[in-house]
Amino acid sequence: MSVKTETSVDFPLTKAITRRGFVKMGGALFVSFAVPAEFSALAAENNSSLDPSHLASWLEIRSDNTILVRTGRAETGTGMSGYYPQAVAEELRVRPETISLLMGDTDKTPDGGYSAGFLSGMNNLRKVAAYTYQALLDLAAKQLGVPIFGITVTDGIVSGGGKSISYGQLVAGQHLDLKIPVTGEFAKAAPGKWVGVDGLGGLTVTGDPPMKPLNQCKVMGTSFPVPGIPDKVTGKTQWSCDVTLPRMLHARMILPERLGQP
Amino acid sequence: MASELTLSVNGAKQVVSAAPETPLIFVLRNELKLSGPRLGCGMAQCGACSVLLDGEEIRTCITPVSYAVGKQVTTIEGLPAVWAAEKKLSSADAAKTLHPVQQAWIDEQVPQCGYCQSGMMIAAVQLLAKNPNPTVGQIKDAFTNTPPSPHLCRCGTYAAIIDAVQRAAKAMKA
Repeated sequence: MSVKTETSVDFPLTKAITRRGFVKMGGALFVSFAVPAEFSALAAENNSSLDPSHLASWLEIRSDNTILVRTGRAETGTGMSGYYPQAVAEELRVRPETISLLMGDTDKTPDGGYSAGFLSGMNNLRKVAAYTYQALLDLAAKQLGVPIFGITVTDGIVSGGGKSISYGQLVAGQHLDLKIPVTGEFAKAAPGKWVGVDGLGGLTVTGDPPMKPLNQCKVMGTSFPVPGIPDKVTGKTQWSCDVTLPRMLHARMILPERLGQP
Repeated sequence: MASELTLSVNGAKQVVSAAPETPLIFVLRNELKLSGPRLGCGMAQCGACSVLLDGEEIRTCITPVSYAVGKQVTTIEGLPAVWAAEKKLSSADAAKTLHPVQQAWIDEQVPQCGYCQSGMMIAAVQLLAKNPNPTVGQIKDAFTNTPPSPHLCRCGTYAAIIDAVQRAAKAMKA
């Protein structure tokens, strides 16, 4: 299995990318969400570590042709670590094996809201990829000097006017930002609500980017192995109860006496 | 009172210091760092903690560590070596070969959360050792009616488990 679930070249989402880090990456297209004004105020009010104005990206196309997808959702066994790359690969016209997925790390991924990976999460990512594809086509049209309608993309190689260029080459040496329109809200404590928390819906990508018609899909609808399964069957997977911290003698989950209690 | 106990786990001799009545699972997980056996219910009612003891499935959450002294303990981490020994694989081949049950679990994409699957695979290995060509009925029976309890999977992967056991049976005969 060549599918990775995270990448070694990484940095915390909440920190600005350092100049050195950027140079090391050799250029990239960062796809993040356009932050509605109320989000910044909300984040400040919650004293959240997730300052949305610093959110780097949902998707990164890097000059070495790697593609990193960040999602706040976590793989709990429903297979989203397999079908998220499938959905993104479909819209970007790349192989799903070329996508690295970083999941659930609250310091490195956008707020994923509650656990509903398929219904909202995949649709979000698919739209993000669709917007990104349009941006890449624009970029390619300019660099190749051909109109968009004369461009085809296969496995991440853009061809047009007798010339070909990879996504990585398209973004090389540049720091490109693409903002995706979103709606929604961040999670916050809400003692009056029945679960004590509000805003679990996370973010929803809005707008209607051109999406691949289902009858043209080559990746979605085909079998794609879930990346974590080999580790599960060999005893390597670490669940939260397998985590030990330095000098830890014993650990257990402490739950509040009642809902909404801090 | 802790005492020194000598265990044989996945083919290796292990000397541990533990009270004899300590449940085997805590010795395997905490002392020997084998995270394959998983603590589920803690009262032999789910099967997540199963290992093989001299080839027979036991529930390590209720088995005192002293009971394993002098016997061979096999966890899922040790299954590839069991198969390699059985097929007399070279060390190069052994290093890249899983037990056919584990391989079938991958090929059939059985695990969802995966928490119970160590015990499921242990049960499958025991079943196929006794019955190399089980019918669907016999597979269901083995996972359901073997004391002390059925093997439970809250994700509901049972249908995939049946497919994987059949696939493993075929592979083991090849």
